[in-house]
Amino acid sequence: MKQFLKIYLPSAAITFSLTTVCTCVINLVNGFSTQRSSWLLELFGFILMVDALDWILGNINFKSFLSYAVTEMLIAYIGLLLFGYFAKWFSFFDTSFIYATIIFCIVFPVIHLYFYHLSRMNADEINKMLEIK
Amino acid sequence: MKLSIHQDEHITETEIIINCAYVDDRLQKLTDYIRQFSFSLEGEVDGKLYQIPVEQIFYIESVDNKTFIYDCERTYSCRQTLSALEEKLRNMTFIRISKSCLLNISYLKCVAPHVNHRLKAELQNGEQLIISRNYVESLKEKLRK
Repeated sequence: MKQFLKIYLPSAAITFSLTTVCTCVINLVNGFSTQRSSWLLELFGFILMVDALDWILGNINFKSFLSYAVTEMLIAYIGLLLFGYFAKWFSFFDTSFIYATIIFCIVFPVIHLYFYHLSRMNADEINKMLEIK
Repeated sequence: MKLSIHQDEHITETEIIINCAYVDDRLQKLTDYIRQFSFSLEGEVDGKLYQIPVEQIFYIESVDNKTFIYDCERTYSCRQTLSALEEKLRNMTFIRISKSCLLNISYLKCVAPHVNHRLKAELQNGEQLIISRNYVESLKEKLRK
């Protein structure tokens, strides 16, 4: 399980992301599937923005992991709404907005839970070693 | 392992002699631990200089290019840089946990997950320090030894 979380899952995610980005760039350069490729690159840009937000919030002393996660989720959601509006990802007046919100509410907590679980594994390993000492 | 202590009030300096066939990992760990009891750092408070026994130091921190030593009673300022102290204390129970902090793991009580992939370290006296993600593996390595 540890190997899956630390090696195979990140490896699959990075490979998929890089392959997607490279394919999109090639498609755009060659004029193929321009609309879909543009959207995927915009999504990649949004993800990088959320990573930058994560880095900025990491410098703030939150009282708990939960308050940090909730704050980041709220700010990222506002970012999603702005991206959605300006990049025309969805309309605020039909179901596409609801689907975007649902996907966001699934993906965001999963990412945070994944990294929290990795931190928890590290902490448990260290605490075990401290007990033995 | 046999332990014998010879007490004599006429002895002026405590000396520890270890008789062994070879120095294994356990023995090396023991000698590193004992060595810190013969070592002290110089710290300053209100213009007065103190010799701080290393085994009493909780952690050493660098703030605004100044180094501070923390024990259970006081905070001392130190003229040496954190890097110089890290080198001096390399074979003792001290480990760097962030760019600006050296922790004495003898006083480390437990750790917990913290934001941004870092860990929060709780010391025996209840104080909390942040362990940067870049130093987590080296902390594990130190604890394994």
